[in-house]
This record gives sequence, C-alpha cells and structure tokens, in this order.
Amino acid sequence: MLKLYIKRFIQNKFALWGISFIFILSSLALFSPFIVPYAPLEQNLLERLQSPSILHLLGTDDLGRDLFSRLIYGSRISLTVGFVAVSIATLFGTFIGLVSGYFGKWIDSTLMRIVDILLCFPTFFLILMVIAFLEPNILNVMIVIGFTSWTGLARLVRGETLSFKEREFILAAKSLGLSTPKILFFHLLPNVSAPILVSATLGVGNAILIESSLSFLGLGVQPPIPSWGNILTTGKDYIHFAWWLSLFPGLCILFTVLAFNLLGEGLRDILDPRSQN
Amino acid sequence: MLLEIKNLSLQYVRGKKIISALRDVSLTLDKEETLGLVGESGCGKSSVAHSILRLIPANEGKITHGEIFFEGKELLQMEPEKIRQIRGKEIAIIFQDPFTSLNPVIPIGKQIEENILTHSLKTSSLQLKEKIFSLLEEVQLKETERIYNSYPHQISGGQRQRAMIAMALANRPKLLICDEPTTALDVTVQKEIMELLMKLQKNLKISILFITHHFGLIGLYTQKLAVLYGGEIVEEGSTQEILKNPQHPYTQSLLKSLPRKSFKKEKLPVIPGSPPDLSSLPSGCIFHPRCPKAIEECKKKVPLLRELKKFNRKISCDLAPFS
Repeated sequence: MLKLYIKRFIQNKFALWGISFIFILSSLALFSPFIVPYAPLEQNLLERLQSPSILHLLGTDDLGRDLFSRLIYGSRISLTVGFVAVSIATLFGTFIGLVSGYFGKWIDSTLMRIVDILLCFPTFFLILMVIAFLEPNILNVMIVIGFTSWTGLARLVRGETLSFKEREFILAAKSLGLSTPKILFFHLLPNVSAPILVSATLGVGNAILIESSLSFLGLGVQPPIPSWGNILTTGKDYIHFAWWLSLFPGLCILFTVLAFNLLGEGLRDILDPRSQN
Repeated sequence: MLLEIKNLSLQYVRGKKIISALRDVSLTLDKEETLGLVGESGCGKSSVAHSILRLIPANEGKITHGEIFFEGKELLQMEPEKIRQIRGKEIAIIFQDPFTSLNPVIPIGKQIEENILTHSLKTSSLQLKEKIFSLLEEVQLKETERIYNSYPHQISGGQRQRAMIAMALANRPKLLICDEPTTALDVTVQKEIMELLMKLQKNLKISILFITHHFGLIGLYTQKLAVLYGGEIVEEGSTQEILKNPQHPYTQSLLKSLPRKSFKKEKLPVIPGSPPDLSSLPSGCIFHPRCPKAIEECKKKVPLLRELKKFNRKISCDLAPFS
C-alpha cells in the first residue's frame, strides 16, 4: 500500500514541487543561524534602505537590517505557527468529528450546532475578535488560529465516520468485544486518516496566511521579532522607493502557501482510492 | 445446556412501520453441538444471531420480550460492560462476507492482535506474535508471515475467511455463531472452510450456531436443525430426521424446491407467493397464504409450536403429522 502511494507521489509533479519547496524552506528555517549573513536584529543605520546588492542579497530595511536574514528568520515563525496551529486544529477537529459521527443523537446535534455557530463568523473576523482580548504574541496567535480552524475538519471527519460506522467491520469489531475507544481510534481513525492528512496540509498554508495577515495588522508577532507579515508592514510605508521590502516577503508568503496547497491537492489525488494506477 | 433462547421477540421500527422480525423464537444448544438455523432471506436468521450478542442498535430495533441464557447467565439484561466481555471471549461470530468484515486499512496481523489484547493481559510482543502465527496455522493458512503483514485486499476470499475464523477463535470462545460463513465464497472454498470449522469444533470443543439458507451444508454438518419462516420457528428437531421426513408444509416445499441431480429438463417446483410482510402479518398461520395444504381453519387459528412425539421434533402446524 505504502509502495503504491510513494509511486503515485513520484508521478505527481505538483506534489513533488510542493514538498521540495517545503523541504528547502524547512532546512533554511532549521539551520538559519548558520546560513544568515547578518543577525536579523542587527541594525546598521548607515546602510538604511539599501537596494539588493552582493553585500545585502535582498537589500536592507529602514533600520538597516538585512532583509534576507530577516526573511529566513521569518520562515521559522511562519512554519512554527503553521504546524502548531494545524496540530491543534487537527487533534481537536478529528476528535470532535469522530465522537460526533460515532455517537450520533444529542451529542452529534450539540457538537454540530456549535460548529454551525462558529462557521457563521468569518474565520478571520473571529480571530481578530479573540486576539483583541489577548496579548499579541506568537503563542496566542498559534492557539487562536488552532482553536478557530477545526470546524471544517470536524465536519469532514464526522461525515466520513457516519459512513464508516455502518460498515460491517465495525460490527465485527463490536462483536469481538472491542471497547468504544478502540473502535474509534483503532478501527475508524485509520479509515478517515487520508482526508485528515489532506486537510491538515492545506490548513498549514492557510494558517501561515492568517499569521501573516495578523502580523501585518500589528496583532500578531510583534517587532522587532521578524515575521513575513510585519516585514510587509514596514515595506508598505516605503513601497514607492524601496520595492524590495514589500516584494520579497510577499513572494515568501505566496510561494510557501502555494507549496502547501500544491502538496495538499497532490495528496488528495494520491490518497484517493478511486484514482487510477 | 450452553445456550437457551426463550420466547425471543424482536421488533424493528422503520418510520411509522413496526416490523416484528422475530416472534417467540425458542432455541437450545448443548455443548459441542451444532445447530443449524435455516430460512430464506429476511426471515430473521441474522436477527437471532445479533440478538444473542446484543448487536442490534437501540434506535433501530427492540427486543420486546424473551430471555437468552448463556451458561445460566441472562444476556439481555446484562450491563453493557459485561456483555462486551462476553463478546469475542465467550461467544464469537463470523460474518458472511470476509471482505467487508475485515478493516481494509489495517494489516491482518494487527487486527488479530488487537482482538487478543482486548480480552487478555499484556504479554510481550514476541509472545503475542507467536500466538498469532499459531492461530494462523491453526486455520491452515500457509505463508503465515505474508498473511500477517497483508492487508485484506491482498489475500484471497478463502484466506480472508480463514483469517476471520482465526480472529474469532483467538480467545477460545465456547460458542461460535457462523452467519452464512460461506455464502460469499465459491463452492470448493466453501467445502474447505466447512471442513475446517468442523475440525476446529472437534479440537476446541466448541458449539456452533450455523446460520444458512443452504440445505446441503445443513445436512452435512449439523446435528440439530431449526427452520425459521417469517420470524417464527416452524419446525425443529434432529437434522437427519427432518431432512428425511419433513412434516411442516413449509419445510416440505423448501426441500422439494431444491435442485436435484437429474438429467431430465424439468421445471423446479417453487413455493408460490412471497415471504410475508412482517409489518402486516397474515391472520392465522403465518404460512397459510402459500401453503399447499391450507384449509379454511388455517386462516383463523394461530398454530402453536408443539411437540410431535412420534417424529421426535417440534412443529407449528395443526394439520401435522402428514403421514
């Protein structure tokens, strides 16, 4: 089974592009102290707003900090927020979905009405509302994104669970005396894991986008810690004469989100049992 | 006596319709005995099996009255946790289609392992693996290593059913319910599986409740037989005697409609009409609309299951015995 998936993965160009980009980005983030030519917080007021050159690959910002170094460090923030927020959302959404779908009745109705209520609010608005009451820092951003983006997954998992729980192997498992938690996590969970994986991958891209937007608005990661979002904020003020300050962080966000989306879409095709060969 | 079902009645609710799937079904099964439960589709065979293990979802069906005793313990009133410990440990069940009753995304070995762990204390993983291998050998599977690591779709139907049997017998239950265990398999595999079951029954000293619509298998492999029609037992007794000399008109018609070895091209006799609508039962005897021997009386009086001493069986037909 795994061999087949690996074969399909290699044949899927988009997924390959996506994962290659993510791999390179993750390596850069992981080894950033050894890669960056300047410390990301090091100011050099003599070299303010330098355009890209050999000395400063992507130019410098208004305080003379090296943009390339800052973007590399920013990738750490983006990836951390992406993975942690999605982990929270995935654990929570999967659990709620499984319980809701399997037990049905009032448990299902209650949980799904809560999901409906949360879905009434535009996600970004909801996050803005919550973050306004909290101290804007990276930890809060991750938690808030995590706990506001599990609803879609919960619905997805619930739907899958509803169809799988009627299958005969669940009845067989019950007839052999397996306990309810075992049926949920040993038998049902592996059957719904493919859509969860796809949804989580797409979710990382989305979480990175939300983090950047929050930081751009000044409600996310606070300066001087570099984040793609707050670098963009600086760039906005100088957009007429320092184009590199807006373009490069923008491209970073674009390509990262694109990479996760390509990987997610690719995984969807790869894990689809109906797809050919 | 290992299993005793007393006056079991079961109703399903489908919207406004109430379907009485089982009415006053009583059965007994002794230790190391094989009881065949035979009947056409929708007569309630599987409902009996599911009732014993309390597998009927509360929102779909309800046991309106009756008792099921297993080794003297009443199953229907038992707490959910206690019944869970009986499932798989004391009573196990094999389903019709070995493909749908195995989890498609978990390797066979893992599924058996999970089932063993449910009912026993933790053992070392090496011992556990050895136990699974010996179980797979017990059901005469070759290439145990490969089967252990295979997913259900990677092995054949016969192998899947053997794996299912290994799983059901992993915790050495006293009663094995086989719900049409060979219907989804082809005839040669069918024979192998049945022989295997009989061999295991002898070795492990288990009782088998064998549910099928296949009279051939019933005749070969069971000692006792109960014929179910429209949720009622119409004839019950020794398998050989019933097959040799059926007394209930339904059993008679069923046996007549079996294809025989003959080179003559002739039409097979059939039972006219169709099985009763269980949400609106006919008056009187449930079989009277299709019965070739029915008289006016049959439309009014409900026949009770009574002892027929001369033929050593129970029967629910007031006109019997037909000489």
